[in-house]
This record gives sequence, structure tokens and C-alpha cells, in this order.
Amino acid sequence: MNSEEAYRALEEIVGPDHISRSPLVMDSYTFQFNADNMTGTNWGPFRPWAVILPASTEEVQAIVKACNEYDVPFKAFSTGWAIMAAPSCEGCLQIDLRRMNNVIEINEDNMYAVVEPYVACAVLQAEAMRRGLNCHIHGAGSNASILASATSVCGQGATGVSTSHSNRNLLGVEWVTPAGEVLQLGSAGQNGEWFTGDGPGPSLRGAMRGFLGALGGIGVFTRCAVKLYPWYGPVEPEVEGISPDYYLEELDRFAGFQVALKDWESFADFCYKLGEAEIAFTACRNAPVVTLAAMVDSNEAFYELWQAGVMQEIPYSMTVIIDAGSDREFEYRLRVFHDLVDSCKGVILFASRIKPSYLKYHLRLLNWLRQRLGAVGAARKLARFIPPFSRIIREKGMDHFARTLTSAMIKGHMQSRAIFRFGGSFITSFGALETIDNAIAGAKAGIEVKLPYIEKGYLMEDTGDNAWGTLYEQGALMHLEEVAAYDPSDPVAAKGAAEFMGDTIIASRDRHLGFCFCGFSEVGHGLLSEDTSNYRRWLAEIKRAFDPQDVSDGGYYISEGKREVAAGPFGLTEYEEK
Amino acid sequence: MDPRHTLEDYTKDLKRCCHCSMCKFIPLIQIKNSRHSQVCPAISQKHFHAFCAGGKMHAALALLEGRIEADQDLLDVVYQCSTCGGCDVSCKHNRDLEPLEALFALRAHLVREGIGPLPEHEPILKSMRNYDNVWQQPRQMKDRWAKGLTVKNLKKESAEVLYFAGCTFSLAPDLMRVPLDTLGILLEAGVDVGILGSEEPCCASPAFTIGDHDFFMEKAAANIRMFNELGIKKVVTSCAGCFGIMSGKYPAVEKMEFEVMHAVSYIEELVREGRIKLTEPVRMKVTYHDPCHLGRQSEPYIPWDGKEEKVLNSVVIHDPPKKYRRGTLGVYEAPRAVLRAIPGLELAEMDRIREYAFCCGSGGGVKTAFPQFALNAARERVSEARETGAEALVTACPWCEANLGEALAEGNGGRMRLLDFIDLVKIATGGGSGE
Amino acid sequence: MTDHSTTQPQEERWPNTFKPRDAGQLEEVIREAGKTRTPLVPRSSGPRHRSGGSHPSVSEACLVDMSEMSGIVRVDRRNRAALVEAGVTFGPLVDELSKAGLRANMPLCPRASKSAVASALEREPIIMPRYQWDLVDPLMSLEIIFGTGDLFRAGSGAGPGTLEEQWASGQAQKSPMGPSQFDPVRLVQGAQGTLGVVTWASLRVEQKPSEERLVFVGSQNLADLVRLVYRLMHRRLGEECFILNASALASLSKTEPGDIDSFSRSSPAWVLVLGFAGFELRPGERIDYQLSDAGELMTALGLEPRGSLDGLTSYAMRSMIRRPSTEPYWKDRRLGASREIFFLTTMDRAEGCVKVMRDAARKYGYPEDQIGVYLQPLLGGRTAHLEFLLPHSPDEEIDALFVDASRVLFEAGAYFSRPYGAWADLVWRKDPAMHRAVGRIKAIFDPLGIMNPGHVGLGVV
Repeated sequence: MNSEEAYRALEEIVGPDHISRSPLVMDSYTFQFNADNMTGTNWGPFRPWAVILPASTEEVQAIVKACNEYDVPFKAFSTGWAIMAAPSCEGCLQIDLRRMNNVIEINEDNMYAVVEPYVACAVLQAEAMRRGLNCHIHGAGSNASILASATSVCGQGATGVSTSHSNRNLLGVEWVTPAGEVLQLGSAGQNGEWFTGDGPGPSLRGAMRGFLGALGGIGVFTRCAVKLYPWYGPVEPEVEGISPDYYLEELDRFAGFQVALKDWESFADFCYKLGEAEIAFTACRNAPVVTLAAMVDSNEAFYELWQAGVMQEIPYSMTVIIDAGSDREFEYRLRVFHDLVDSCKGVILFASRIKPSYLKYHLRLLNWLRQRLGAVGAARKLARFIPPFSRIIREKGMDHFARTLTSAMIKGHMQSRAIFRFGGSFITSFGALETIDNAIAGAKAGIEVKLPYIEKGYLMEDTGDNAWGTLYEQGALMHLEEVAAYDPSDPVAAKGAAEFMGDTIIASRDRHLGFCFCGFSEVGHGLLSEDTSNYRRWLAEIKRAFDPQDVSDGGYYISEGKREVAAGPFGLTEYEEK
Repeated sequence: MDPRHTLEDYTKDLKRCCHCSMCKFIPLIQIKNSRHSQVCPAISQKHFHAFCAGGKMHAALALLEGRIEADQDLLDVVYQCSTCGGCDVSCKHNRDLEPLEALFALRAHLVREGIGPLPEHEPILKSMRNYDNVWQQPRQMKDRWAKGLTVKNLKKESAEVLYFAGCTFSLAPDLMRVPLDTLGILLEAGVDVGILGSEEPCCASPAFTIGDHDFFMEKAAANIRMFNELGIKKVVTSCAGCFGIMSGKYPAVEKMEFEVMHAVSYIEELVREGRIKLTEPVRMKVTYHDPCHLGRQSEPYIPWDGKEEKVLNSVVIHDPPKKYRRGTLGVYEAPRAVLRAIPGLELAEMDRIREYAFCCGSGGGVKTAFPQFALNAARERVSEARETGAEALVTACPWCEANLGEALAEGNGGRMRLLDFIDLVKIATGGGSGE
Repeated sequence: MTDHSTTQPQEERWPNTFKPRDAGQLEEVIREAGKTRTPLVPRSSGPRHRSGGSHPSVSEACLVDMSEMSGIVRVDRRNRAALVEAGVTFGPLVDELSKAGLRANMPLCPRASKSAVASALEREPIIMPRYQWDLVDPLMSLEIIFGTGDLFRAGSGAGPGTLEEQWASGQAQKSPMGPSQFDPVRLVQGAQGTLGVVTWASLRVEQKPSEERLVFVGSQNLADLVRLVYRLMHRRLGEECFILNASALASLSKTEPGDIDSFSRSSPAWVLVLGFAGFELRPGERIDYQLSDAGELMTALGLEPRGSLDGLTSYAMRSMIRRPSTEPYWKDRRLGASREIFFLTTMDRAEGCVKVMRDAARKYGYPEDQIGVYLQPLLGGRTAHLEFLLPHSPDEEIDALFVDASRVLFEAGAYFSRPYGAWADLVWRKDPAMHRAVGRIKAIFDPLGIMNPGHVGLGVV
């Protein structure tokens, strides 16, 4: 157990108001979503030994040095969401970076921002928009830290087609290594400017995060620069409506569409063409279950519409937002967009600007339904669907659906609605970041792996398809992750969800579907390393090189056996390959 | 909420919190800049996660599951919270959970277990019991503000409207002008209005927020019965606290045969009807602070008596469907409409307004037990108000006025001064100079 | 040991050279070299090597010449990717891509002998900044044999599965991230061969336009063009986009010294080269709206687009920048040889750096108007590669100017992200903590220190 002396040394660094070991305070850090997969409860396997709230890089460095001196493992987080933010070993000091919350610089010409850990995406976005810029908001939502996304976790986000990916948006980084050294990667270390994080020579960005992020296992990132992107909307978009239906005002030169394709193949073709056309601000695929959940204001309303069985028949759909910096560009992009929809024989389900000519799409949609369900079957389902659907439109307006989705894509403010509201929690897997074809292959596999778990009653009955993902960099990359909602208050379901997760890792490996994005920690490495260039060895060496005393809690990264760490990911130590 | 609910009744909500931290921020879509993104005065000051709504829900669950003791640490966390409900609005933008109700239930649990409230709160509760007000003042002092005014006493005669002054406006010398001027304006407008004078009871709002729900139930029931028996059809109050509790909590206690309105809403109605004429220009730039109890916490109570079930394996639904109070149906537009109707007056909005307004920091027993905490919150709000360039910070709650006034007195607001809503209405109706 | 920190490496036939034909051979040689502690210097490009990154710094080194591993393994039109061996030069790659309807993310007229993989590994600037989302681009995945002799694949190409298995599931080794919780591609890139030898890499390539237009925008003032480029980048307009001064443009576009001189006198002091393209859908409309929008931005700054510049047509420029340089290499054309000082900065600092360079040149009596300047926006305009070309006759020594100018530019904030030769000393002195950290990486992948010792300021045997 850590010594009183260690506590006093830490207290000396931040002052008594900013360190605590009260069980109550500790438990508020032990409670995390996805803890249930490990323990069957809301509580992670380890309560922190203490929590500390540094206010500066100097304090972080002093804390890390003290941890080395007193052999105290530490785990830092920024906004700290999900079990991977919590300690994975006994006696761990939780470093909560909440007090480091400054937007240090927004460089308008060079389109980047320098931020501290507790700057949420929503905060940076608001500041960026004031300057005609925007930031990438990762899938966790705009409540989460942009630094964490850029330095430490995966980083997919709904506008990736135009705002890339958090890993790739990272520029300069300030890194307090586990040994307590402060490194400033890239230009910052040379001239104090943050415009790149690569070099001199080899880029140490390569050692600090990877595809999945080191999840707090390799020290503390105290400052970073991220790329910003042009924003052609107003500097402070007006918000209309009342909770839970907040919308952005109708933005000039923005148009949102929900486009459906007939099958996965035409969906893939549409994605490739959309990417190459370079017209999209957002190109994000939500499964019908999430699209519907995001658009209605209660589970009851969701259930009523879902039971009609219509949404399930149009699963190959995507939210597309077109933006433009000029009227000419907007007109051009809209023309191209409509060309694309037509050439892929798609359907515009709804749009922020509805045109009479869209009737042709609805006729096409009816034709699909008739082909799939027969005339009687289609009529029966539509008869159940249309009344509640019309009621929503009457109450909230014709443009409710398009405005809701468009606002959600731009602001990233509704993440916890679409998936947590169902039963309280979710788990997600597959999600390799590769080509469009590969993402779709992953989505198909996801359905297959998930269905048995739905049949057992563990996971939400969502037809198996809850693949969420997006294009990146104008279609150069895509990811689709298989999301599964469940009730965390049901330990059996939570355990089942964890097993599902294990199966997805195996499936992505055996079907060569790319690197599964929940394949972290020892279980992940154990299942994947051998078929993936035996990477574990090198990763372990990096950990040793930067963390000789193994103080940066590596349970969700790589563990060298010095400390007993949590089963992970998601309680899978007991997972056995079937 | 129904004050009969116990902490255990909220177990599912406690377990379904996903730790997303949205309760720390104003609704994310409303964030306008980095300075004013936070909604919670507690986490903004104390920083440990336990101080946000999610953290307090975790604490409640830990307590129920026997993971932690009900000790001083718990009381510190639970009571260093102004129960402003900002967290509740932000959470419910996305989730169907009840963080604020759970917090009130946690306080009630601690009080019922004999652990809460804090010693500093005891005099308030005693005062409510012994003097029927929160200020330990003799009952007969309660009509002092109305001395010299010719107005009906509804204990003796009947009127369409009861003007309910509330303990603080009645007893705080600095604030007595507010009920006096309000009543004067109502009378001038020809409203058939009366008061209860020294027999005006305490609304018992502090008992509810501090967690003495048994006393609150008893007192609220008595008040409702009294108003019903007196045949009162409409209660109008200038106190946001009284209004919020009567609108949002009383209906759960007993059937009310009367309507409750805050004076700002009633005045707005009278202005619309032309019974109050805002003719005198007030050349001033002002900003308006939404009191929590006039805004998000005043949203009318929605009864629900049904059951939860799971469909599609894990989707939680309610039968009958449950409506959630998301804080958006409070009184926001009425004061603004009146202010905008005053000739010459310019209303400049702060970044955090309406349902996501930042609390002044005074509520929930904080001002009594943690005055520095309350003052820090007020400083933050005053600084936000000052950024609008307003010459006056206007509000409509005695608690907000007292606390914000303290922060202003330190000089944080520059030359900005504090006004009650009624001060401006009075000037605009030709009743004052504005000096 | 030969110190190349201050002098430009001389081309010579290295006595001890090994030309692997496949990864297996290479693994064997690296393992053997480990046993005998023989330094290995990987080299993928042909002569004339300019920056010295692949020049042996110790006489007993064995040169690993990758030129025989020159297969274009796969061109994937659908996924806009090409997987090529280390010895593939730009010429064949451009041709092969073109057949598939693709184009390369090219540096500005690289040497004909330049390996496309080496170019990407060295983070050479590419001329279409809009397509560079991360400085690692266009490099995606790669295969390397580390100094330990272990073969490793990095990026999404790492697996799971073989390349063939990945292709079967629709992959195209398209991501530089991973595997797992590190990005070894980034460690290898910029390491100048000090960690191992790369055998193949996958490169991000772009669709070939179906219509194109290119304009020149001249100005006597660099700041005006920089302002324009910022606005273009904020609007994401254009394809190829770079600024040259008159001297550099003359060297690029003319081959005869006399023509170069006269062109550089007649050309505007600064010229922005800006390409536009249309693709499958409504190509003409795309070019039209982009040109109109860009034109408005230009007008607002008092600038105007031109289709030709003193006889240099936009067609000629377009053809030129799509291919490697003809011989002699464009940077050497003016006086037969050239030294280059290049670094990263931001465009708004470029003018200040130019002044610093000119001051340094003046001090050494070097003609200011002879200095070529190449400003290449990178990363969608967030970063810029600034390069000073110092033409000189092959028998003239300008080492002192080179070293001193590098120093003063460094002191003025130039970021030598690719620290060749003397620049390594500058950067590591400034940031010893980073030097130690990079040393730790070196110790992992090349613990015996046999890989290209002495470069990037890393370990000499």
C-alpha cells in the first residue's frame, strides 16, 4: 500500500484542496460506464488510492516524479469517460486534469488550436466558430476532451469526411512521460510554435498513441495542438427549439440529407463516389435504430415507430451534409450530390430543404418496400408507421428529422441520447479504419456475430445492425463499428456484452477485417498480436523505454506484469476462444 | 418530484447514469465560448467529480450499496450544491434520468437517517417551525412591509388574487420595496388583490431543498388547504423560491384549487391586456438573470403513476409514457417581454440564460452553510453579466438579489447595479426616477 | 569517419554494396550485419543524392541498395492506393498510376532517380496541400526489417492477416495508424534509415482529373501571395499550390542557364502556381466555380490569375509538375549545382525567413537574386515547407554560407524537422530531452546501432 509519506508529498505539490482520498470522492471515479462488463456492477474493479487535481504541466511533472519516487501507479484523464479512464490496478493515483482547461491559442491563419486537457470539443468548437473555423468532434461527443481524443483514445467522429480523424489531427504535443520528463513534440520543442508534432527526425507521435491510443498507459499529455477546419456557417449559430429538441438555426449554404441505398453494394458505391466528389461536410452512417432514436424524444416514441417495422427495411442509409464557402460552390455541390444519388439509384428520405421533385424518391422507396415485403406486407407496415410518424411531424414540423440529425452531426451534442437512452449502456467493436469496402465487410460480420447475443437476450434487439461510422478525408478511409446497447443494471446482460466483445475481436482477426478497435490491453494483444506482425513485443519495449518503473497504469495499454491489472478490455481475462 | 419518494426509488436512475459529464456543462449545443461553458457552481469550484450531479448520484448509489459511510465528507459534497438544477437540464437534454430529484432524495434520506442537514441549517428549520418564516422573526413582523397600504386581508375578505410576499421580501428591509411596489402596481392596474399579512405562511421551500421532506409535506399540505379553504383562485408572488416550490412541488402534495403565478408573469399578462402601461422611457442597457426557481425549477409538476418495463431486450419504456420536466417550461419569456416593452430599455443577454442560466449560488442552503461558495458563484455570474456591457443586472428573486448584491458590492460588476424586475416596471409606469 | 555535417556528399561508388532482391535476403543480411556489427546504410534512390541522409558516415559501412526491389505490387483505383517496393522511382509510378486513372502525391519535380518510398519516408513536401491531411501523408503502411533483423509491418497493413488476406476483405493498407497502440510508421518516417530498411510502402494516391486548368499569380510581394494562399486554403480551393520566387521558377521551367537568367529577370518576383481540376462529375463546372471563387479572392487582394508567364504556359507547367524533373535536375540547372536549406515554418513567417536568408547571403557576398525560394504549403496550409536554393558552380564552395545561414534561420525559428547533417546538431542541442527520447526509440529497433549510424544525430558504431 502506498505510504502516508507519498500522500503528503503529493499534497505538497497541489495543496490540500486539490487532493483527496475520501472513499466517497474515490467512488465517484470508480463508477464508470462499461465497468459492469468487468464486475457486473457500476463500479470498476479498483477504487483509486487518491485523486489529485493538478493545475499546470509543472504540477503534473512533479506528481509523476513523486509517483516514481514512491512507486505509486498513476492514471490520468481529461474528461474521463468510460472504464478505460479509471485505474486498472490497486493503489492507483487518479490524476484528474479538470483544472487544466484553457484554450491557449487559436491560430486563425494556420488553422490550429492549442488546448489543455479539459477543453471539451464543444468549447473549442464554439471558440473556433467565432473565427470561421471548426474542429473534429470524435464519436464520444462534444462533452469529451479534444486533447484526450487527439492524444490518447481512438478519435472517430461524424464529420470525419471533412475533418479527418483525431489521431491525424494532432500537431504539437506536450507529453509528461511516465519517467517525469517533459517532451514537446515537433515544432513546439524547437521554436515554441505548435504547427506540427512530427520530428525532428522520427516522429514520437508514433510512440505515444497509435490507432487506439495508449489510454493513459504512457504518461500524461498536458497540452496539444489540433488542426482546425474551415467553418462556413455563422460565428455563433443560433439555437432554436426547446429541450430535448434543440436545433441549430437553418444555416446558409448547408443542406442536410438522409440518403438510403438499396443494398450494401450500392451503399459502398455511393460512399466511394461521394468521397471522390469532395462535396460533403458530413457523411455519417447511423443504423436505423440510432437514426430513429436520435429523432424522437422518448423510448416510447422510438418503440412505437420501431415496431412498425419500416425503418428496419431501409438500413443502408447515411446522413450527408453539404456545405460550401460560396453560393457557386453550394449550387455545384448540390447538383453533384443529386447526380450521385440518382446514379446510385438512391433515395433521399428527408432533407433540410425539401423539394417537390423528391417525390420520385418516395415512390422509389415504396417500390423497394413492395419488392421486399410484397404489396400487402408493405401496406401493413406503413399503416403502423405513418400515424405516429405524422404525429411527430405535426408536433415538431416537417423539417424536424433533418434538422435534428444535421444539428447533431455538426455539434456532436446528442451522443448520449442515441445510444445510452435505450437501456443505459452500450459496447462497441470492429471499427478498423481502412477502406469503405472493408468497413462494410466489418459491418456485415458485426451483424452475424451479434445476432446470437440478441437471441440470448443480452443485447438490444436491433436487427443486429447497429453499425455506426463515417467516411474520413473525402472517402480515403472509413470505419464502421458495431454498437450494441444493453442494460448495465442487468449483470447477465453486461457479462454477455463482454463475451460479444471477445467474439468480435476473434471475428475481426480470423476474417482479416482490419485491426479491431477494442483490441487493446493484454487480452487484445493476446488475441491479435501473433496475426498482426507480432506487434506486442515492440509495444512492450516502447512502454519499458518510457516507463522504466511501470508507474503509468498500463492495464488498458500494455502490462509488464509488475502490477496485477484489471481484466481488459471489458473483463475479458476469462474470455476463452471458442 | 413527489416528496414521498425515497432514495431507493431512484436506484435505477443512479445505475443508469453513464458518467458522461454533460451535467457539468450547459447543454452542449448552447455553448458559446470557453468562459461560460459550465453550468454547475459546485463542480466549477470544487473540481472533484463527486461534486457534479453524476458524482452525487454515484455517491448515493455507493451509500445505498454500503460502499461508503454517511459521514462528513458526504455531507460536504451533498450540501455544497445550490440545487439549482442546471445539471438536470443538461442531463435531460439527452437522457431520461432524474439527477436533481435523486439529489433531493439523497438529502431527504440523510435527514431521515438523522445525519443531515448541516448544523448551519438547523436554525432555518427551527425558524420555519417556530416562526413560520426562515429569518427567525416574529410572525407579526411579516406584514410590516405593507404598513400604510390599503389592501384586502384575505383572512377577512375575499379577492380574486392573493399576493404572496414571501418571507424574504417581507422581512429583509432592503427588499421590502419589491412587494410594496408590486402590490402598488397591481392595485393601480385594478387587480382585485389581497394579502395574508402577518398570517402569511412560509412556503417551506427551504425545508424541501435542505431535505426535511416530512416537514415540507406537512407545511405544504397545510398551506394548500388554507388557500383552498380561503377560496383563493390565484396566488401571485414576487419570490422565485415561493413560486418554484408552489408550481413545481406543491401539486405532488395535495390537490390545489388555485393557480400560482410569479409576479413577472402576471405583470406581463396585465401589460398585454393594457392594464399596465409602460409609458416612461428607461434609457438603460440591462441584462436579466434567470432565477433557478423562477426558471427551470418552476416547471409545473407532472404527475406520473405507472410502471417501467423493458422491451427489445433492453429498452426501458414506461407505461403510461412518462413526461419529463426538462426545465424548458419555466418562466423565461415573461420578464423579457416586459423588459423589451419598456421604452428605451435595451436588453442584453448573457451567454447562459433561461433553462441553462448559471445559478447565483444562493440556493439549496448553500448561502447559510457555505457562504464563500455562494459568493464565488455570484462573482462568476456578475462577471458574466458585466461582459454584456449592461448598466444594471436585473432579476426577480430575493435570494439571487441578496447574493448577487454581495458580489456586486465587492466591485466585481464595475458600475453595474442590481435591480429587481419591479424596479424597472415601476419607473416605466411613472412611479420612480430610476435613481 | 567522414563528416558530412557541413559538406554536400559527393557521389561515389561505394565499395561495399548489397542489392537485395527480396525481404528474405534482406533479413538475412541484417541479421548477419548484427553479428559482425557491420553498419548498414539503406538507400532506395539513385544518384545524385542531395541531403546526405543515405550517405555512409563510416567507411566500413555496407550500402543496402534497394534499387532492385522495384516492383509496383498493387495499384488500387477504387481505394486510391498503391503498394510499391522501395526501389520504385516516380517515373514508372506516375505512368502506372495514370493507366489506372490515378495520380501520385508528388514532390515538386523530384529527381528522376528518386524513390517514391524514400521520398515519403523523408517527409518530402508534396505539391497538393489539400490532399495532405497529416504530415505522414502520402505514406500509409510499410514493411520494414528493423536493425534487430525482425521483419515488421506497420500501419493497417500490419494485419491481422497477410496482404492477400487483407485485400480479400477489401483492405488496401490505407492507414498509417497502428497496429494497436503505437504508430510505428511515424517512427520509421523521418528516421533516415536509422531504425531499419523499408522494403515496401503503400502510398496514398489521388484520382486523375478529367479536366484541368492551371494559373500563375504573380506579385512583387510575397506577403500578398501568402495572404491569398491562406484564403484559398480556408476555402479548400485548388489542387497544386506552391509559391516560387523568380529565380526558382526560372530554374524549374527553363533548362539553359541563359534562359534561366532572362526568365528570372522578366518574371514577377513571386509566383503562385495554382492548379484546378474536375473529376468524374461535372468537371468543367467544378473548375469554373473554383476559378471564379479563387478569382474573387485574388481581386480582393489586387492580384490576377494568368494563363502564361513570359512564354511559360500553364500547360507546360502542368505537364512539368506531374513528372520527375528532366535532366539536369532543376535545382542544379542555373549554375550546375545547388545547396538547399529547407525547414518547416508557417506561411506567415516565410517573409521574415527570406529576409534572414538574404541578410546571410549578403554577408557572404552571395548574390541575393540568385537565391531560389520555394514555399510549399503543407497540411492544407497549416504548415509550410520553406526551401532556399543556393545555386553554385560545381567547383564553388558555399559551405560556410550554408552552415551560417542554417544557423541564423534556426535561431529565427526555422524548424528543421528533417535534420540532415549539421542540422541535427542544431535541433538536438536545442532540445536534448527529445534527443534522448529519440535515442530510446533507436535503442529498441536497432539496439546494436548498425543502421545508418551517425544520422539524425543517432548513434555511431
